Amino acid sequence: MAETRVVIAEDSVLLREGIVRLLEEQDCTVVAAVGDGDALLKAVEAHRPDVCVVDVRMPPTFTDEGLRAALVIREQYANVGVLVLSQYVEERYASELIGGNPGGVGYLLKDRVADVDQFIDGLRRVAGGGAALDPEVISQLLVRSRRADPLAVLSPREQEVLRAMAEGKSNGGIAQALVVGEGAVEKHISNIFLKLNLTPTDGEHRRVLAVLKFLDT
Amino acid sequence: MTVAASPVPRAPWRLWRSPYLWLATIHIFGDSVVVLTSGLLVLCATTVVLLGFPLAAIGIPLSKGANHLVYAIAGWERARARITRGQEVPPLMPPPPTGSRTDDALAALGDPGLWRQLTYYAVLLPLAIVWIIAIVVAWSIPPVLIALPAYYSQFAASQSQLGPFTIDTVTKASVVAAIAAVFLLLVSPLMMRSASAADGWLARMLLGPSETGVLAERVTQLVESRQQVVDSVEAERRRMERDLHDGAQQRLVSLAMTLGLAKNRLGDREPSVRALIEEAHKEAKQAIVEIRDLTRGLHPPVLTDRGLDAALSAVAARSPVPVRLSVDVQPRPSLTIESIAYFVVTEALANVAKHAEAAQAEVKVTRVGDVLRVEVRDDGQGGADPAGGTGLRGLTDRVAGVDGRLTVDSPPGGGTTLIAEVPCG
Repeated sequence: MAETRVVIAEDSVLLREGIVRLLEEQDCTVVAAVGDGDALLKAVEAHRPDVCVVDVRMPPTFTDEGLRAALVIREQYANVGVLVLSQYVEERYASELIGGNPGGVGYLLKDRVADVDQFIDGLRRVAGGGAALDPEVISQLLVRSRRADPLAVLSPREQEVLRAMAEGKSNGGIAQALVVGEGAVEKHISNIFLKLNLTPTDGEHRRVLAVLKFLDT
Repeated sequence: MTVAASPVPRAPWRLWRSPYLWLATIHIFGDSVVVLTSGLLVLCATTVVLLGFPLAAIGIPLSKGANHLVYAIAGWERARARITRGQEVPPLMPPPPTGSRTDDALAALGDPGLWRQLTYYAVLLPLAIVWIIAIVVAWSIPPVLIALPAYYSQFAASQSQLGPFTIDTVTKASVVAAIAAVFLLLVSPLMMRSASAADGWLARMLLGPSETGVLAERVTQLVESRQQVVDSVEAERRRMERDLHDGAQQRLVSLAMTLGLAKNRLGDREPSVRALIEEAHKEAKQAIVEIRDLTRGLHPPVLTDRGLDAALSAVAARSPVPVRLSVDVQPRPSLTIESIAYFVVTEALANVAKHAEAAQAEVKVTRVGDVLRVEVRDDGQGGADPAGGTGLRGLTDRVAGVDGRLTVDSPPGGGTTLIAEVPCG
């Protein structure tokens, strides 16, 4: 796999350096490591990385600084993936972040960096234009959709499969996670497409549309 | 601090040794002077207040000015009470300006403070006469009577009439002198003390705010200070959340990350060490989760950033019992009120999860005018006792702290409905 070029924005020096070390050990190149939103935007403009890792709460406001910078990046640099890390994940932030396009975007709890392999997996997915959403985000989004009810037509099992799709898993990954055969997963997915009225055009495209429906956008 | 601020002695012989006796005498003697000067001024000023009103353009400011003059004069009287008696009479306040001159004049006219102060001077007029008589009886007559024997020894032939008694001998004069001396020593101080006390009572009743006024003022103070306490508690919770976020949480994430790296580097070597590292890794991650639950309970940052709807979505999502959520709160209430509403929902849903055995719950948060209404309903077994668990008690207290009301309707077998209504104007 080609080397992944990363920009890191994290105001805690301890964590920033930890993440830099972790990424470099996993064959990523950290092209810049910064401590606030403005510096992040400048670094992205200068280096055009494959992906940036962004903390939500940064100076000067310590509220949603990083999230706002992430939104700017997503709007202006289509090829730069954005992986947002936070001590809390919030459905509202996830919706804002994903907007109408669940590609090249990730939103994970900060502690996920502790599971190195999974974290690097997620990072590479986001860098490659895929998605990496925290299971906790997904469950919050599901509750919201329970409010709006566009997915009431799906069986609980199908919802689980859809949830795994939104996490960015492949069919094989979903089968492994739900402990079923890949054939069963494919059957569930075609049922989901059917129930959500997604006509069989491009397979991957339909996946994205299903996830979009799921995200209630 | 003034001389007279020390406690007033009760026994007459102690009074003699206290400056109070003389200050009291001077004070009640001063009442006459006050009636003749301040009293007249107040009378004139009140007349101007009354007459000024019909005089329109010139009269209205005059009326208002005269009203303020009455307050200023009454202020001198309070100062006098403070200096000679050490008595603190809280001041009355003239009506606040309304912005309209006519309204100001009307307010001056119907101002209860004006009439109380006028009444003070009106009552003081007859009282001052009584005090003059008292001073003469206490301090002038006894010395004259004490001097009687000396007078008789000088003028043996004289005689005088004292009421029904005819005083014509030195012996009789001496008896009178003795009685007068006892009177002077024991009764005069008590007379002065009682007079001064009565005078002070009058000043407190008419120059100070009425009891309802004092209570109203106190209530206003208490409401303000309670608001500050509630706000500072909420601010403190936000601060603690932020400190934990910037400190312990970051450190734990860093620790877990380092352990994760160590695990990776070790690969399949040293299985016994790897097991230890895995254990530590798991513990660290668990600690992160626990600290997150704690800080989120203190104050979730998204509540400040995005309001109740966003914050409660996450709460509903974490509830083990499925929750239908609807939040319609426009405009946003204060941070304190949002915190309390958030706390009510989290606590209520925790109770639903723990006790209700419900299949589903519903949370509705609405703002109707200046009232924020939080309703949490479940279809569980009911029977919740608001006086029972500490959870519900804590909720009731926290809601009551902002003048809100919490009601719990929980018939056995009929589900539970908890409603909190909090003013948010």
